[in-house]
Amino acid sequence: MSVSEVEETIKRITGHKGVIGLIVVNSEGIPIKTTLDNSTTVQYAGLLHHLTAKARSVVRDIDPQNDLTFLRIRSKKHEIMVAPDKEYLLIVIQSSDSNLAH
Amino acid sequence: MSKPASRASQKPATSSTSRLSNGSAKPRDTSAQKPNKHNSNKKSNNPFDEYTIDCPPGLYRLFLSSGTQSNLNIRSDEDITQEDNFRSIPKQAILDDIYNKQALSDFSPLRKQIEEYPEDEITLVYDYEFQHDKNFYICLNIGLKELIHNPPIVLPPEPQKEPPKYQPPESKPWVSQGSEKEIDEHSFKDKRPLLKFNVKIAKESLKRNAHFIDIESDDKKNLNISIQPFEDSSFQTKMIETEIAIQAAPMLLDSSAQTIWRYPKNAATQSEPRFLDKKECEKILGQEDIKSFINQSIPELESALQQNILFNAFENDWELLGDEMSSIGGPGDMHLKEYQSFSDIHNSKNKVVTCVQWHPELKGIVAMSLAENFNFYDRMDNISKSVITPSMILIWSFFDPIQPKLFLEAPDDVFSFAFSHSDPNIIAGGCINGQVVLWDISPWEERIKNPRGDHRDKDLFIPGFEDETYFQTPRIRYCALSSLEHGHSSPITDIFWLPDHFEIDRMGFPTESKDHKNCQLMTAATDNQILFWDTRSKSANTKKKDSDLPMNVPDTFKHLGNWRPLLKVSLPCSDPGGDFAPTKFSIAEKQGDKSTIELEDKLEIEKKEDPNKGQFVAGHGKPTSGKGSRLLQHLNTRISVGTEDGQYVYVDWLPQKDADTSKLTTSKAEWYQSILDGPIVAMKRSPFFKDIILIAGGTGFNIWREKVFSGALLQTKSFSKRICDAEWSPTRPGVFFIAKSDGTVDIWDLLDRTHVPILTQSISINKLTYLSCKIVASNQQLIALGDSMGTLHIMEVPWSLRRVVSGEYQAVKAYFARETERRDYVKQRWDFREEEKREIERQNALKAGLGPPHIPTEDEITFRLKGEYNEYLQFEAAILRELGLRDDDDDQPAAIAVN
Repeated sequence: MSVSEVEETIKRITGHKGVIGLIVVNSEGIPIKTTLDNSTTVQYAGLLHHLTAKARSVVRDIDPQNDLTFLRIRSKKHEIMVAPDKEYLLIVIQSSDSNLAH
Repeated sequence: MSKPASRASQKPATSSTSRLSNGSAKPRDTSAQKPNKHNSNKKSNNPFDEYTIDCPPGLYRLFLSSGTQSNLNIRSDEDITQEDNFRSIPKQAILDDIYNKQALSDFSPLRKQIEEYPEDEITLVYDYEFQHDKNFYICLNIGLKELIHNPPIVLPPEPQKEPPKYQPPESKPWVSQGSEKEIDEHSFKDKRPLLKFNVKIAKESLKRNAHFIDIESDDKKNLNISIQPFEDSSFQTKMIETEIAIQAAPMLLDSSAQTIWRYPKNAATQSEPRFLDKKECEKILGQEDIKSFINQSIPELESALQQNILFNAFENDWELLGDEMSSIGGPGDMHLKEYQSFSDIHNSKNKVVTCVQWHPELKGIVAMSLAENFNFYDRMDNISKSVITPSMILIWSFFDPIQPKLFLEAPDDVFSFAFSHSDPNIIAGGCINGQVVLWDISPWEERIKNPRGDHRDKDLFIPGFEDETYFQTPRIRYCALSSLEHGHSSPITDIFWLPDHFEIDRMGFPTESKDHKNCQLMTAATDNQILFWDTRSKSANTKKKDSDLPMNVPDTFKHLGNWRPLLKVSLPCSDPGGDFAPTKFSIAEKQGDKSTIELEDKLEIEKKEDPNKGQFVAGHGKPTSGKGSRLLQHLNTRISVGTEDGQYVYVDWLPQKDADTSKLTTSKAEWYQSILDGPIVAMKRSPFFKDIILIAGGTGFNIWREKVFSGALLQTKSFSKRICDAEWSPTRPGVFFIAKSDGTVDIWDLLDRTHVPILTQSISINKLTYLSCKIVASNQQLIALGDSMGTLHIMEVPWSLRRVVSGEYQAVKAYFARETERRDYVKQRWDFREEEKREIERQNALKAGLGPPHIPTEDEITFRLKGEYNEYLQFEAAILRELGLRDDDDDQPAAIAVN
């Protein structure tokens, strides 16, 4: 079924090197699918939902024809990647230690 | 024609005026409006109208063609013009014209009137303006004709009325109104006749000759009066009018309003995140759109994830560039440069530098202590001599290498001393006879602060008023001396001021110090004791009028009197070889490092937050300090001690109640081990790592981690020469210096090589006795080295040994961590080997038939013991029953469950 397909894909992503967790959030900011614990999920979902909306409004304010396709936030410890959509948000957190090529 | 004559008489006036005005018909029209209107109204339907339109009666308009005009010689603009605009044409000519042309004649419509015309000549008037399409007028009225021929003369305007004639006023006789009196009053009149005088100068006076002399203008003789200008008040004008500027400024008022908060109520809102329950989630996940969304986002996401792994785009190249700089500067640059050398001619001959200390605050001030270079027997022989020549600590300034700034006199040779960090004017020293000496150099502070207070300051004094003592180095006597009986009984080998953020009480408990002053000392001597001393007065009453202090000695420590130690830490040892004789020691707390206090703060805050955590109950009650400073529970009260026999002892200074004697004594050392083959000469903690200690002594040195007792992190093989002192570099975590007995300094770099020094440099031909590092400026680091001939060498550390290599701290930290792990591993292996050995022994014993057939495991032992206990309970119950102390139907003692 399609559910298992989604599951497969999610497993593939989370199995990637350095990936700490993955969250799928709906348009209201409620997490639908997550691989992290509840409190962390809620925190990430709430905060990133607002930030993505703001980022999208920035892009569209500058050029109304434009739209946000991807958002990456790099910090000392992690990198947070957000793939936005009309209704959903896909959030992936990757740790920075894997960033060092050497 | 049948017009009333009265009208005709009226007309001349009007037509004359029209004539005057250049033949323009308009005034005529307007002036003759009334009669014309009358005419036109009456004869409106008359076809004859076109000839009489706008004309007075008797006057007709006609159009005369050019042929008619030429016949009658009235060609327009040739014979007859605008000004000269009328001609009298004989009637007959007109009639001829009419007869000849009959109906074609221009005059035909007026034939009748013309025939009736009484006179012989008819006047024709040229109409220049061609009014009503007619260019001529024909006059058939005698009156009009007359007027045309004889226009009336314009009379000049009537003379105006004469202005009234000027009549000059008639003169009237004067009537007096009283003014002559006023005039009389104001006029000047002679009241008497004018007098006449005749004045003559007497002739005699004229003959006299004038004599002129000179006189000094002298104030005293009053020959002249000076009139000074003065303010005459009568002339002072009172300003009633002044100019004042006024500005309108807004009035600012501060006003505030306060709401009365009568019933404070706490209100809080709490929100919970929303969740979807599982079924809903699964339902959503099953939808098509989320599947497509994820499939869409996946490629981008994967590329981003892979990107991060492949290449770190945010690498800071600039920081990493620093690595290459270390290669610049070859081995030649790693040389300790000689900066200065201090040697006092009078005092340092044949004396050993026992200790060198830098002044904690002032740059360029270094102190060294000198002692006789005698061994025990020589000392005994020369004991009388040593009393005369006092032992001293010399204080040098960099600006004067010949003469020291200050001499500090001590009762005996000083083997170690230290500046107090909080007040660098206080110096504590330990003598060879076991006494602790205190100096206070605040009266002479100026001498060391002022860089060039020496013979070059001759100009400071006026000749004849010189202060001879100024140029001599003052000898300062000690302020306080510890009690001989209660202090140490052997040479004090190490002295240390306790850091100012904590202090200890009689029980040894560390409390937080609020004053932040170094007031407590630790000393170690080879009489197996470490003593704690307090420099503050114990009793509140310090008003002792002690006048037995000699002159010139400040009374800072007068209260100490017979100074006794605060706390004794003895180092007993049950092993043969006697107690430990400490030579050097080191405690975990460092001056300026307040991390313990911060840790206490943090833990206290945590404790307050969580009431479930137990409270620490101070074993011996409240803190001793009256201010209520708190007990520092997390302070490490252990001392790492190096002994005369090359042992490393780890002991707690807190005294414990001894079970046998119920006295407070120091407990046995937690741990000790013999590590080096000679007395420990240096025990230095790394400035970067709190628990790494460099221990040097004998012919080698070790690096230990404080609580790792299994072994040293680094051990070196024995050198050929004995080591005299060791010190860490203050800026580089992996570099340290070793001073040896052949006058060389070894520089070791842990990151470079750990089996040999990276540099060996010979400093002096004599034995080096003490080494001390100091950062003088951001780009200057100096090492002070004392040698056994009384010379103090100051060397400058080269840049390559001073500058921190990037990542050095991390690398050294990792190195120590690795070594610690190695120790752990070694320990594990030891344990394992132990186990193995025991096994083998057991096997052997088994084979030999001596050992027990079966070694019971712990469970079996427990089982057996429980069984025995149950049996005992049964036995006890039985006996009690027999004795009658327990009834039969009492419940049986519960048997312990044996599983």
